[in-house]
Amino acid sequence: MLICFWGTRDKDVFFSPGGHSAGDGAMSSEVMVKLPEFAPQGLATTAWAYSNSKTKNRTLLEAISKEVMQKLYEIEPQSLGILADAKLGCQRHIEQALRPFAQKFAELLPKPSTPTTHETGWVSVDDASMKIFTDFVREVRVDNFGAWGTRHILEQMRLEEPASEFISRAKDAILKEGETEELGQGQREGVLAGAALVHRRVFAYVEYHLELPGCTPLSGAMARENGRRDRGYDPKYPLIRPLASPISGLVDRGLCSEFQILAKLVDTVEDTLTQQGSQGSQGSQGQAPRTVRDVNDVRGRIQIFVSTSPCVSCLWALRQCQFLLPQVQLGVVNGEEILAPTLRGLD
Amino acid sequence: MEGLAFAALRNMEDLNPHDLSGTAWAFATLSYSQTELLQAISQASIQRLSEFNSQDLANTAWSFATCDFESRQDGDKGGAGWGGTQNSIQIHPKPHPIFKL
Repeated sequence: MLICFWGTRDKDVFFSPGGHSAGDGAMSSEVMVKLPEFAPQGLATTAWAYSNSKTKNRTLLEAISKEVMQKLYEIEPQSLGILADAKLGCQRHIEQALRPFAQKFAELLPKPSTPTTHETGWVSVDDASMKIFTDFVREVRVDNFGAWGTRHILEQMRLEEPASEFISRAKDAILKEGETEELGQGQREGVLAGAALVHRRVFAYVEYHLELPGCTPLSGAMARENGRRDRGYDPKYPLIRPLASPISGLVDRGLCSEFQILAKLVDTVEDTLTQQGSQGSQGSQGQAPRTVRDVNDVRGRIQIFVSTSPCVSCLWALRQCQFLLPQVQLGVVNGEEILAPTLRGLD
Repeated sequence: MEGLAFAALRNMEDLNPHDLSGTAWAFATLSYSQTELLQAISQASIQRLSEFNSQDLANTAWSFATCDFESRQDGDKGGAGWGGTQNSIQIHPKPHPIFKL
């Protein structure tokens, strides 16, 4: 038997997340009845589903919030990442539960080994640091910390926040990249800002200006969509590497839109230094070793807009860029964080 | 996909709660948002709602939210609240249920 929580329940309205003039959705009522039975993952998924509607069912969201509080310390980090973006009443407690995991991830992101002796002039990380990091990622089973968790990590990484003019250009470029058909307003928002975690169409846009010692400056912009490999760029040995995710481990994170952009940029720096750099004309067989000084002297700025929160592999790719190009200012905008309806708190 | 949707529509009354939520989940996972199918799933689900377990409910809620689908009292196609789409491929990425059916 179903219990009706809000008086009249219209049996013809099955899923009406924000309520309905003739009564709330039948499924909302059923969810209310069975909330205590929900496993943490189901609770997070359901919270996301109901918090994503334009008109919110406050009663149900409050009930979900209470249930989350009951189970808070049973909820695994991946679900905490989803819940932190659902903006429930217990948001502060969810953030408290998620923060230690995000903090530890940021702290364990490997740093370059010192002193750098890598023969190519590029820095590298030592195996022990990398193992500690990958073990942690595997242990916490997170492939994406969600918008709030990712914000915390990006802050710990001390990445820049690009200016609004850049965001505006990024939106235009991504809409153009994603425009395979006439887009309605809702679809335009969908292209620009997805919701957290595993995604379908994700876009990234980058603008860069890099001054390389003894070389022509590299300057430009590009957009990429995840899952679509750039046919003009297929490196056998990219300088930055993706990370295997503990969830959906068979997904090739090298196809993430922002990873493709970062990998191509770093490899372009490598190629330019090889061909034009201070030692380029002295090398044998056209392959001159770069010096650490060359790499450390690359200066400039890279700004990236990603339409949804970067996964753990792409956070690692950003960290690799930070230490491969230490004099380059790196900025990241998360489209999900600034544009997604849930996170904008629309009523 | 259209063939599968048609077959699901034809056999809707034979589907149990797990089948219904699984069908919604599968189509949503593939970003195939076919309003007629979702409407049929919602109607069939109403008849068996008390039999849905928490996982069925979570997966169905996720599926309908992912497809921007809201069932309507008047039988209209698609939803107002989440802006239903008609036979369109969704380009709005959404979080995915962590657990599988």
